[in-house]
Amino acid sequence: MINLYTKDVGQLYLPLPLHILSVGRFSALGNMVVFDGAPAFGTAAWPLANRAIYMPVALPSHFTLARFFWVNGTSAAGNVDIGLYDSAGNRLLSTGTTARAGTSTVQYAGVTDQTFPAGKYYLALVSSSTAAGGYVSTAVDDAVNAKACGVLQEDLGGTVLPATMTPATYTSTDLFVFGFSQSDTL
Amino acid sequence: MRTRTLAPPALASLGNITINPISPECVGPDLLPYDTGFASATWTANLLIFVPLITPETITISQFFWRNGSAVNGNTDVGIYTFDGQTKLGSTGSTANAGTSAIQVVNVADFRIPAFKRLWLALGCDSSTQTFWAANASIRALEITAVKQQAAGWSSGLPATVTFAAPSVASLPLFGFTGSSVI
Repeated sequence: MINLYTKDVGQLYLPLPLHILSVGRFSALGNMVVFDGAPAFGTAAWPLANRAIYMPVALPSHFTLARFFWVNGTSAAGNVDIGLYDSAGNRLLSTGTTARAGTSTVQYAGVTDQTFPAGKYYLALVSSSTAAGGYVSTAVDDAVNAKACGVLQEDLGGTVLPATMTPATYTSTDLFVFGFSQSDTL
Repeated sequence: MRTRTLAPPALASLGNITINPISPECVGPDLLPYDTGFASATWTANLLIFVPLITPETITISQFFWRNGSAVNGNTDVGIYTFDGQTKLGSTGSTANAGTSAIQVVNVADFRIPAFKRLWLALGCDSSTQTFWAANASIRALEITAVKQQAAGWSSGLPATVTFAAPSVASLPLFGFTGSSVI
């Protein structure tokens, strides 16, 4: 008799893409954008100086975090801190405060490569400037829909991601695009 | 209460028989929130494009294909590179474009690509008047999904080795490969 228990069976292995996105295949946000409107790529102001935004992702296999990236808008003012949290809100890895450089471009910030297991995480970004803004997927112009996908926020006193999240309800109407690469160069 | 199953679940996902840039093995699910579809679009002469590819099982490639747009001109080469771009695993070779708004298929000697290895699905074309059925995703949308390009990279086809650069042309053609003998 076959007597297998799901807890004893290895996890489904799915090779993860090279880049992992805050609005992509590993959260409901990507599907929400497609389902709720016309997918597009545009710019928006960061909602409030020193506001951190936490975007949930569920990653089905282990992964290596080599570089974070975000997309600057039409201004490169101020600084950002970008990082990864576990599902309990503990900061696992972050770049520390980093000056924005380059307008309308993807900016990368390398970290010491670290491998993490499959699991639920939050990608986090805080920006010191509302002028700098960033690129967004513009279809979900509704904070309620973003809430329904698990996006959270926290107003910080500076531009350093906290060791532990103290999140609040998401109030913005844009979904900012950032993420990480599993490669140091590609 | 523990859940009992009568058969073990799959331990890995399955790969598709036919793969193109919008497939889950490439960038499709990540690009969907940032673009709305394909249309006929003019190519940039000698531009090469590289789409990240990783498959959950070994796959046999029997044919490459691309979809031409409303006008055809020049030559196209579609192939597969290793992650470092230093080895071309296989390609069609330079092939004259023919057949507007149609899938163009090139049979190749069957070869296999390994599971769980990061690779690049590549296309190059030497003509600025050739059109492909292509997504016009912004260059930043292409970059965040890890698409790469090489300007002026054409060398009588896809070269033996390539140099990856951030995208500079907002175009992602519909092309790919299949293990099927019919497409």
